[in-house]
Amino acid sequence: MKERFLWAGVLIIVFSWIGNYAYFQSKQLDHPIFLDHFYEATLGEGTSFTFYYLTNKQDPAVVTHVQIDGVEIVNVLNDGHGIGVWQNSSEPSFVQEYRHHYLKSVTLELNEEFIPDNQTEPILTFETMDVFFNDQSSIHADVGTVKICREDRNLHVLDSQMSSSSNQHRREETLVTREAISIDEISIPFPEDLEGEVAVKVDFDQNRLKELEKVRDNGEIPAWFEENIEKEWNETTGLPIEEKELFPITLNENEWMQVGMYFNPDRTSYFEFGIHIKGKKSESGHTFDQTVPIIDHPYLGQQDIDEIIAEKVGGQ
Amino acid sequence: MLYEGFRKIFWGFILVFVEIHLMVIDILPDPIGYYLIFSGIRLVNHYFGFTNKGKQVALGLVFLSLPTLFIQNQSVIQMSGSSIYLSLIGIINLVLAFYLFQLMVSIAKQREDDSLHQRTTTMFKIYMVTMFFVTFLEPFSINMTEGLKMWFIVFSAIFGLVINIFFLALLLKYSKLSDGPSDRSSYTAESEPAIGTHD
Repeated sequence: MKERFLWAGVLIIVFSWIGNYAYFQSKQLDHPIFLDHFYEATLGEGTSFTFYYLTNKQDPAVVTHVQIDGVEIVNVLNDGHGIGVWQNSSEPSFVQEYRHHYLKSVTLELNEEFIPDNQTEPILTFETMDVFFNDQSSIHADVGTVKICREDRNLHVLDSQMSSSSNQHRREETLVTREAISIDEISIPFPEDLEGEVAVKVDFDQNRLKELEKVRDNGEIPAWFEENIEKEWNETTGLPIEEKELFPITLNENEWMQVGMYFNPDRTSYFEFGIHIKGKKSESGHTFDQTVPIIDHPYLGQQDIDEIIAEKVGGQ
Repeated sequence: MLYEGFRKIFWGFILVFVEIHLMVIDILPDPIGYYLIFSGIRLVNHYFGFTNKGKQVALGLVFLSLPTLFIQNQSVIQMSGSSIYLSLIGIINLVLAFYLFQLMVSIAKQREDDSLHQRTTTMFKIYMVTMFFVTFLEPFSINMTEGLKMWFIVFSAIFGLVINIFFLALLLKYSKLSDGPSDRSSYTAESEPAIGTHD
């Protein structure tokens, strides 16, 4: 074998290093990127939120503290994947691992003493956070939209009966009225941001829904209830909440309603909010605003991550 | 002389390939391994009047490999100063192996031992091509997904191990050659089957 083959080989290996290193460097983020979150929470003891962000695998970031509007109204409960065991380990903790990045989470607990007492709802809404990392860097991060409201227990008019969800980004919830009410509107929060991301259908077919009463006495769950969630979204029972002629609708005490929800499976944002059911109590005339809670997190593949980075880095 | 030179080279490579770390110190230090290789090549060069460049490469590695006393040569491939350094050592190792093969080919030629010459040149090609691909693909691992990277590390470790065992077996064979080209006929008849079991 000739010596020039050796040197040609060595040269190719060196180029392989340079090429791979350049590609690796081009994939590094200047700073962590927060994903979009649409969160609604009620103020209470230990109210916390988990935010998700992307960071370089090489030297991953760790959140030390967070300010909202310049005030430290949240405490960092943990940066990482939940459980405390992970925190003592020297291995970085992450939710998911990608080619060059980690998807990490940081859980923030609301510091109640900073919340002003007498304010109208929502008490606090924010779209950005100032996030400080353990390497002394900090970013002004867009995190989606977070709303914090005060809970009003007196106006609880609907009891949740049965709910089911599928991994196909679907959820069904059945509710029963505590007293006679009229519903004026069912709405999805964050209307500007979530247009097309969530679809909701409601069904007030008492004849059918009353069959579910059997379940209370340990009866069988009717087959249609479970079949419904497996069906294609447009074939499911109920009418979309956008149909304005649906409302107002009056329900007597102990009457049923079914709410079906469908989330855009291709979206990359985190949902933890409620579908708002607004109306009046028939007797007292008091208004209510009750929510059907939604928790739906996206599954993000490598391609989603690449697209999020291209969008968030390119858009800045 | 031949025997002693190649035995030194053989044990030198054993020291280089095998890593046993006690606390942080490699108790089979690479620099000593490279020094053995250097002095082995020097002996062989001197004996045959060759000017094989492996001698200079091995001497360079004696000094270059000093930091490996404290670096665990883990297969965790990531972008860091020590991984670039270890890859550099890997490339120079490849150069050293190339010159050693050239040395062995020249000896086989000089002894007019066709079967040994044939075996050495075949091994030369297989070794260089395999190690070239393993070394060429190594930097790609920094851009691989976790799953792929794991497979790559496992396969390249197996390939590297197998090919280097063949390389060591060849060095051992050269170390067992008797001095001087005169008695080559008796050697080939006797030792070929015995060595074959080492492979």
